[in-house]
Amino acid sequence: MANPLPNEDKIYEKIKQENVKVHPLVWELIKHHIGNDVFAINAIVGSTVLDGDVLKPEDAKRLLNHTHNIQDFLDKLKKAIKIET
Amino acid sequence: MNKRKIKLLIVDDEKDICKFVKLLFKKRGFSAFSALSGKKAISMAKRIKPDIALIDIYLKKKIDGLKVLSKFREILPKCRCVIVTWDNAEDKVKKAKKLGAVSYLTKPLTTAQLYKVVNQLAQAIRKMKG
Repeated sequence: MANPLPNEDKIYEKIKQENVKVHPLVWELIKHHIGNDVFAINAIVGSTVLDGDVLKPEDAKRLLNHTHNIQDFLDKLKKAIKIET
Repeated sequence: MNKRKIKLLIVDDEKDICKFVKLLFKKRGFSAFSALSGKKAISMAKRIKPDIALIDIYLKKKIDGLKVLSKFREILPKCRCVIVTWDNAEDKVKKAKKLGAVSYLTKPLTTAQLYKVVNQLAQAIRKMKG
């Protein structure tokens, strides 16, 4: 997890208090893309590095591909919901 | 104790999930197989007769994971089927349980969490078979 923002707890509190909702369609996309790519990353690391094996270069590339997939998905989502960054 | 390896079938349309979950369980003494589609999973299951199946609901081709689950229950009533999916919608969970899934896991999960569930099922199977 990234280092928390200095005001992160306040943001969560605001979300809770103001009952901020994510549209179900957006949430569905997030769960699908992040869920599969993060699980694939867990599977690659959990079956190799965490067992004390050296990660092969081709498997490191697979890890990168999954992080790129997440990045591509977030870019697509940002475009679709027109977030100014 | 029964020395026969527990047979595990992973059904997921994501190649890396199939490859590395299979590797994870092979290294832990399971006999692991994988299928990237529902059709392949059903034909493979008839041949290898898995003790445990890990099934994703959303598969790219015609047959989805719930249909695979339903078919497995019909042809392999003793196979313990675990759903592993990103979708934790209540209706999906209910439907899967109604169709006979013994567990419903939500992606992303860690390999330790997955292993814990599968190993518990494997221990129960070994105990039952004496």
